[in-house]
Amino acid sequence: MRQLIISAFIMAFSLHAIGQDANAILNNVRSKFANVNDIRCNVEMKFDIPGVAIDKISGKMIYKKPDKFRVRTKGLIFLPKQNPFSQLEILDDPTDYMAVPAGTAVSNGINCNIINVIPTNGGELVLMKLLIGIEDGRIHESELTLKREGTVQYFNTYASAEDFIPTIMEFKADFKRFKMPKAISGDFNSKPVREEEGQSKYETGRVKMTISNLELNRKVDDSEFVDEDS
Amino acid sequence: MIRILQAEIIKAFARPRSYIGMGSIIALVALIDVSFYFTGEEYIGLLFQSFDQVFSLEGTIINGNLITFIILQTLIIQLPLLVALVTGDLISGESAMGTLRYALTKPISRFKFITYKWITAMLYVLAILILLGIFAYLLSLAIFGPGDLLVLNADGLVVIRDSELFWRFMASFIFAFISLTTVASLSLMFSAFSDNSVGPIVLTMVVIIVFTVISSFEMSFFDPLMPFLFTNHMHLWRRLFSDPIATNEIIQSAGVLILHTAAFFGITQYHFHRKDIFQ
Repeated sequence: MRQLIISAFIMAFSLHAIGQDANAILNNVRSKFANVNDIRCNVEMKFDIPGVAIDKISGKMIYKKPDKFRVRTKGLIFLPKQNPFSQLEILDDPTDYMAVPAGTAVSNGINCNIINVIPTNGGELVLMKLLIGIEDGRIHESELTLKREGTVQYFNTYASAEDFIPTIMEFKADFKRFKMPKAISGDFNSKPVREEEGQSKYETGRVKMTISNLELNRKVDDSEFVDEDS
Repeated sequence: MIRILQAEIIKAFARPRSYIGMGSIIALVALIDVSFYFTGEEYIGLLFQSFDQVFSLEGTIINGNLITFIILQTLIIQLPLLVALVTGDLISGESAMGTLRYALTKPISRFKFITYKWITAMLYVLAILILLGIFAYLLSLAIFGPGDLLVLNADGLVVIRDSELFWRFMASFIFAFISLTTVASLSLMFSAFSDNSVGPIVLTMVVIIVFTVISSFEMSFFDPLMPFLFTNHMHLWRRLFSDPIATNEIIQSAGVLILHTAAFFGITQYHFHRKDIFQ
C-alpha cells in the first residue's frame, strides 16, 4: 500500500513537473509575442485549392493586437478563416488553457517539443497542438481543432535564427469538394465527374503566404481594417 | 444592289417585333443589375458554401465583370430565341403577306435575294450584340466598378484577374456572334421552307430548347449525342474564361458552328432556288 502511495505521488509530481515544462516552453513563446503589437509587411499569396484556379497575388498584410488581421490586394484572394497569428493569440492568457506535453517530433528538419493546448474557457477551440523548436523556442507547426471549421494546420518557416515572425506561413485545411449542378453553374460543357465508391467527399486546400519587408510595431491604425466602401 | 440590301435592312428594322428582343435585353440587364445591387451578397454566399467553412473570399466579388458574365450566361440561352423571332420571319413573312412574288420581280437572282436576307439577319444579330455589349458590359462596369472575375463551374471556381478580362469579353462577344449566326441561319432555313411566319420561329425555338435541355442533363446516356448538338458548341464561349484557356476546344466549336451556318445557308439557297413562289 505504501509503495502504491509513493508511486502515485511520484507520478503526480512528474506530471506536474512535465506540465511545468510545457508551461515554461509556452511562456517563452508568449514573452516573445508580447513584444509584438503591430505587424506591417508585404505578402505574396499562392493558392493550391482543389477545384479553384487562381493566380498568385501580392499585397500588404497588417496585424494589430489583440486579433485584427487584414490582407489588402488588388484582386480576390482566399484567406484562412483563422488569422495566422491566432495560435499566438490563444497563448496570451495562461489561465485560459492547460498545457500538456506530448513528446517530440521533427518538423521541417527541426527537432520540436509537442505541446497540446487544451482550452479551459469553452469557446471555438477544442484543441491546439503546437510543435515548438527545442533550440529556438519558435512555433514551427500548429494544428487547431475547431468546433465549426474542423482541423486546420499552419506550417511556419523562418528566414533567420533571430526572427520570431515566420517568413513563410502555409495554411492547410480540408473542405467539402465543390460540386454544382450544370443548370445552376451554366457550365454545360463540363464532363460529368462521377464519384467512385469510397472516395472521400473532402479535399485539402493550401494557402501559402510569403512575407517580406516586415515592420514590427510601426503603428497600425484601426481605420486600416475598415473596408473603403463601407 | 446596295439599294436592295438597304431596303431589306429597313424592312427588317421597321417591324415592331425587331425591337422586342432589344427591349427584353435592356429590361433583363436592368433587372439583373438592380437585383445584384441590393441582394448580390446573399446570392454569392449561397454559391460558395462549401469553401465558406475554412476559407473566406476577400475582395470585391460583386463587380461589373461578374455581373456582365452572369448576364451573358443568362442571356446566351435566351438570345437565340430573340434572334429567331426576327430572322425566322424574314422569308416566310414575305411569303405569308404575298410580297415575295413582288420582291422577286426585281432584276435580282434568287441567290442574291437569299444572301441579302442572310446579311440582314447577321446585321440584326450584330445590333443585338452591340446593344448587349453596351448595356451589360459598360453599364455594369459603371454601376459596380471593375474587379477580378469569379467564374463558377460545375466542378470548381476560376478567378480571372481584372487585367485579363477586357479581351476575354470581346472574344466572347465574337464567339456569341458566331453562335447566333448559326441560329439565325437555322431559322432563315426554316423560313425558306414555310409560308407562314409563326412556324419557323416556333420550330427554331423548339430545336434550341430541346437541344439545351439535353445538354444540361448530367446523364451518361446523352454523352454520345453531345458533339452533335450545335447548342452544346454555343456554350463554349465559357471556355474563354477558363484557366488555361481551352483554345483548341474553342476553335473547334467555332468551326463546327461555322460549318452548321454554311450548311443551313446552303440548304436555304438550294431549296429557295427550286421553290415554287406562285403557290
